[in-house]
Amino acid sequence: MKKKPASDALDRALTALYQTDVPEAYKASWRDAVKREESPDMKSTRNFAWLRRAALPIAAAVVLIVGTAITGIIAPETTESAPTPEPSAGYEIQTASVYKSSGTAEDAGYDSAAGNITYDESFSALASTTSKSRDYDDAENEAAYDADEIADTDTSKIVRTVSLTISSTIFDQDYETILSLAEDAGGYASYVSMYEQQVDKRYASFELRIPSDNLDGFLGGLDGVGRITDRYESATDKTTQYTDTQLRLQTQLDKMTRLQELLIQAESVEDLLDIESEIADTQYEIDSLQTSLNSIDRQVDYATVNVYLQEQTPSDTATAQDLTIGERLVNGLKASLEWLGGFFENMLVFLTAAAPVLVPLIIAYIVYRIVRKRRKAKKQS
Amino acid sequence: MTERMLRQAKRGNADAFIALCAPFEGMVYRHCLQMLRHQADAQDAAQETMLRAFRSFQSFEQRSELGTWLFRIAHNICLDILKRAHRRRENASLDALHETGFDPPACNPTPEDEYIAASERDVVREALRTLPERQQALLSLRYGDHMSYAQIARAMKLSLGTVKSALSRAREDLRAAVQNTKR
Repeated sequence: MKKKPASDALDRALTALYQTDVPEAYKASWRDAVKREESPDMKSTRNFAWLRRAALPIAAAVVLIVGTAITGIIAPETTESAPTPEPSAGYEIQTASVYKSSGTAEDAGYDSAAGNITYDESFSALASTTSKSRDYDDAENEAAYDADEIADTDTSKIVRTVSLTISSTIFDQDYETILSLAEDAGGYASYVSMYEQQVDKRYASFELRIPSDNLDGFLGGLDGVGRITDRYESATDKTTQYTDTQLRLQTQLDKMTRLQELLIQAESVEDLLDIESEIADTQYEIDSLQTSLNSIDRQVDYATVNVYLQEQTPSDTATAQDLTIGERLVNGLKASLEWLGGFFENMLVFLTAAAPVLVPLIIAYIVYRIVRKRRKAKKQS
Repeated sequence: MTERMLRQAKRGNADAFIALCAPFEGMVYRHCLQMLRHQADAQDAAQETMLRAFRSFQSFEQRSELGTWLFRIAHNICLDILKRAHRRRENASLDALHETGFDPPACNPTPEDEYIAASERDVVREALRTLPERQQALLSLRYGDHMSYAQIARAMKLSLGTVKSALSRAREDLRAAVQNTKR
């Protein structure tokens, strides 16, 4: 700071009057005294004052968001369901799977009214498999490929398996349609399950047994259900296995005829016992072979169709390529609003549920603040 | 003087307080020295002023400028000291003030210098005491710390025009007070 020349006698008098150097000792001492006076709390928290102020709101926000998220996660329950859903009754559908190790589909007698399901556990016995997996849109016309050619032959024993993934915006309706199409085709559902992964995002899995003669018609009917996003078909030729089994069965039957003739001609008790033992073994073999033949017949007569139905939410459709920009925007907005609504709903549930804990905590905090403020005021006074 | 520093100082942040009050340390000291006329006492009083200001900074409501507020605290502290040590005040002499280096330089004395250096210095000092605190503070910053108008404006949180007019008014008032004191 430069000294300015005094403009008149008064200025010079003032300059002279104030011409006093401020002692360096004083400059340092008052600063030290003030720093010593600074409270230890302030020293330790000086640089983190903003953090301390922000800690409580941040903690409250975290608790609120996490609590709301947890509330949203634990709300929906995963259920495994029977084939006949009750849309109005939610998803509390009892599992009613009945396992049957033998017998034809007709024997199993699927009774949709009673909600009974049969499950053929021999289904998985695939010996040699010819399969193709491709995008449905690309391979639709080729999907029935070789299986049809093979199936045209009367003597052919072709086991057909089809897997479909269907996206649906009308989940409940399509769920019903799939089961009703199976029933119309003379088939039945051997296994059905349904679960909700998140709000408005349900999944259903069907294992359907459809008469082979009606399979193509059934698959054609499924084209009107939702949007098929994936399709997988396989045809397993069991003709050779079937013929071999038939030959072995015929051999055993011939053997049985001879054994019965020998039984009549037996002269000693010892021969009689040996022949009877052999007859028992042969009968067992005949039964086993017959069962195998029946199993193949059943697999051939009833194709297996696995349907995986997934609910399509507006947010999913917002990314679909076949929608217009307007539809996608509307769907996106709708999805956001639905999500927001669900979030606040969950928050309300969380706050209500946590009220017994939160209310005492808030009261305790308010009391703490009041006491602290009073102590501080008292200390300062 | 930023609002943020003020908030920090009010919460007891020493660094913020020091940054705010450092421009006024000379003014505080000089006022204490003028009142007490003893260098050591003035240092103690000035330090006490700063400490008291720090302790009660929460009560500083910015109705007045920080410099004026500090000036008032210093003034009260000096009055208390003078009351407690009345004897010292009585014994305080111009010689004691001279020991502090308070005298102006006596180089090439002009008639005006001689006029000031003799009895008029005490007259001016007495006239100063009749001025309002704010005017005393402004004059101290201007003539003691040699602050520019802009620097004073920043320190006192006043506009440049206000500082100029206030200082002009202070000089006029002081001139009138000197005339009255002479009579």
